[in-house]
Amino acid sequence: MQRHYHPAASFLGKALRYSIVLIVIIALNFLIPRVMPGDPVKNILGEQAYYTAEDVAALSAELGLDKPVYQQFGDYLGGLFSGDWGYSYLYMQPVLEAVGGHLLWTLVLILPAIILGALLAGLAGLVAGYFRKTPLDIGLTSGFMLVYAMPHYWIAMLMLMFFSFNLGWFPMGKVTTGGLSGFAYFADLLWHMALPLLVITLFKAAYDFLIMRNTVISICGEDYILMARAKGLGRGWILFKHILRNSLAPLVTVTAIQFGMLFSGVLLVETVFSWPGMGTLIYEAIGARDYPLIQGAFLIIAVCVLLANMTADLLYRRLDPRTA
Amino acid sequence: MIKNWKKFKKVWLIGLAAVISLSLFAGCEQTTPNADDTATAVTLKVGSTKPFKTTNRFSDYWYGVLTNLTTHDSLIRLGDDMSIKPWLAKSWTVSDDAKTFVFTIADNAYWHDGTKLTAEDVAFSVEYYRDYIASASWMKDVIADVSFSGDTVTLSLSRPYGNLLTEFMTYSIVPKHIWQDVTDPLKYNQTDMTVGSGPFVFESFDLSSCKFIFKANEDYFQGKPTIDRLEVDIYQNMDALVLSLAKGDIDTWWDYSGTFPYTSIPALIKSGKVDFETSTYLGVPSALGFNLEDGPASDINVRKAIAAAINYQQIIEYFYAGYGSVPTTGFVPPTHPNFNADLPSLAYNPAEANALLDAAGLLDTDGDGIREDSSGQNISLRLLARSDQSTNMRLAEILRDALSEIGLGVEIRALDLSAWASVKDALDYDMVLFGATPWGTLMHAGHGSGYFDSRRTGQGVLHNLDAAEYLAACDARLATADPAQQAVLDLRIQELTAEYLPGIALAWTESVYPYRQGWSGWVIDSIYGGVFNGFSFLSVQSP
Repeated sequence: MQRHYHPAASFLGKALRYSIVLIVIIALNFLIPRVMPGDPVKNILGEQAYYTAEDVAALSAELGLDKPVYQQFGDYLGGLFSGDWGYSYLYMQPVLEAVGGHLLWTLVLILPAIILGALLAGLAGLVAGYFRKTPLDIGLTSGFMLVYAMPHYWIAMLMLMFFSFNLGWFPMGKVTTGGLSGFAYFADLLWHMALPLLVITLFKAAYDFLIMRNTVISICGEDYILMARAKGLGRGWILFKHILRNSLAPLVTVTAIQFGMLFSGVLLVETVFSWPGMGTLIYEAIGARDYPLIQGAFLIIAVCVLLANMTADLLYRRLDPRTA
Repeated sequence: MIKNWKKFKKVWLIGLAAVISLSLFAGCEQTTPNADDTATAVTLKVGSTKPFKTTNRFSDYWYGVLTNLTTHDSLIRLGDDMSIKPWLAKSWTVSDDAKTFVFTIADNAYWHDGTKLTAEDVAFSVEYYRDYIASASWMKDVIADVSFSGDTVTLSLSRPYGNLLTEFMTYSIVPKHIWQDVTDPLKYNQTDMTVGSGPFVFESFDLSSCKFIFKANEDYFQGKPTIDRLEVDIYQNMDALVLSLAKGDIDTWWDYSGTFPYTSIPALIKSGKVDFETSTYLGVPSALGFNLEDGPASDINVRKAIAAAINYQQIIEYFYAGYGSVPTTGFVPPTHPNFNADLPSLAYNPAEANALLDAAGLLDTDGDGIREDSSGQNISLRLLARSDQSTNMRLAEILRDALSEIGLGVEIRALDLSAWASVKDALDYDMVLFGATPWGTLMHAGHGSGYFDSRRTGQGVLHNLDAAEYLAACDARLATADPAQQAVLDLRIQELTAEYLPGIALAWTESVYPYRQGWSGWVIDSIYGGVFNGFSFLSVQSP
């Protein structure tokens, strides 16, 4: 007999599961950087500095790295719950400050990219799947396959070359020109983010398109679609009322999963466009073995991914009440 | 609660949407106070790919280097003729035993906040570096006492240190009235931390526009810079920077200890908007070090064989577009003072390499193309390379191919800097690819000794040579301030480097410094990497 849970109980159950996942992530975030080869203290001291063993020991003690690992973990957990996420020895500022500055710019880029990419892929996949094997389908599929097959940093470089260097329509990267405020700042920001946003949107859409198209094709063969046609329903009604809604679930799942991947995945696009986002921060933090910063950055991403998954769970219930 | 479930869900979703919107528009509230109201001002725009983080010169290595060029001054500077030039110290004397250094400080220098720069500031700075800056802790072993009187500062050393002047080229003087109460300089984060005495005054650093802005110091003690405003644009990749230079968005490029990518030069020439200055690079952009303690490379004949198996001209053509020359066994290039011209050049000679390996008893007895060691195992040399440097990876492959030609197997181990340094310090390698910066080749007893002396430390140095005569030569060089004795010992250090081969330079290069056409009057600074330096700021002319 199928058991039915109250929505609130179901929500609490999910929240509990997410909490357990978060705790595991916190532990892994702490442990993984420490098993990597490399010494953060020597990173701080520099490539050519002359120092003694005492200097290394003193700096280790100052950073708390001389304590046993379990004690460091205890300190870290205590700090997390009291709002102190540690101090970045790469940026020489509190971790939350260092992460916050970069997180903002990554969100500014990837949130619109996720939404625009999903919309583009959803519509294109819907049309391509419904009109399967038509020139429209072949054209769309070929186009998105081409984009998907190309490294996104290469697309980024091509766009920079063509639109910024040759045509001069867009700036050569960065977030803003500087020295602006108000509406001028906002317009300048949009101008700067146009190309990186386009690259990430296209890259995400190319991936999602194939999923959407395949889902639509399988749904088109369902009996209820045949019934809808038999009833004489219009093409638009069938497409948007019956097919679209039922094919959205996989897209929502993929989008939630991609949320985390995009944080690190946009690293090379950020690099091409000199965009000071999370990808750059994580790359530098790992390179410098900045444990607090690595922990903080990955924890923030983990929280974002969990929130995205929770959102997907809720949307799923809306899209497919059977999963409730 | 149950009744309100649907309402709660809506609120949650609306909240999420709000967060997304806020994230989108939060940046729009940021403003930068530096609207350019100086339309007629001469502005020099410099592009750099250095990963700047903060404006604390003590905690941000790259910003520290930038301040040495812009906002701060050192006591002395290295001139373009490789001689030591007076700067904040207008003169100095060194005792015969190289234990007492007396500097006379310029009397017309001021901090950017208007306070006069005094000998007391200089004395304070030396003590501050010694006591609070970990990377300068060598001073604790060397500087016993610092005193000042009038316009002179006296450093009394606990042991002779003839290379002190060279060391002091890279330490900028900081204002006592700002730093005297700061006991944790790495974490200091107040606006006055940017105050210096240099040719430019810090104005702003904007992370979103990735740009530093400086304005000219009207009261600079060396004279007002010929540039009114300086912008340092930060790029995260060199390709975008090159495009910006070709397009005219920036005027020149700066990278401490780096060389401009030679593959980009044709594109800049083609743009027709860029001219170039060149100079011999003071450092060694790519070098091969050896494990002298253990493994096949601990045998000098094997090291010589490896050196003879490398086609240096090919490396110069492939990696440096022909802008270079084949090195000698003395490691450092001819621009170094007291260069030892008698040492032989490295030469590609596979026949000699094979003969040396045969003589070392490393033979290919089973005929599989790879020589065996004394235990009968195929030799596989562990070549350590930095994966974060693309040139290194391609170079490692070239070396692997070259060594396979003489029957030596090579296993490339590609690691990022931190892991590379750990493995290198654990001597878990046979060969290691590294680079020596201009300053790095001058440090310690000079001529690359800072990389090889086994007593040295640092992430980038090998500290792999502990031969008594080499260490003694380094100590003797450090102990004398007599130029004649220094010259003799400089030659000796290069000779011993050639004899022991702790590492070989794979190429000496010509550095190429691009700048937008129309700019003139550049002076090249061999230490800080090119046309962007304190000398140029006093002479460069805009188009």
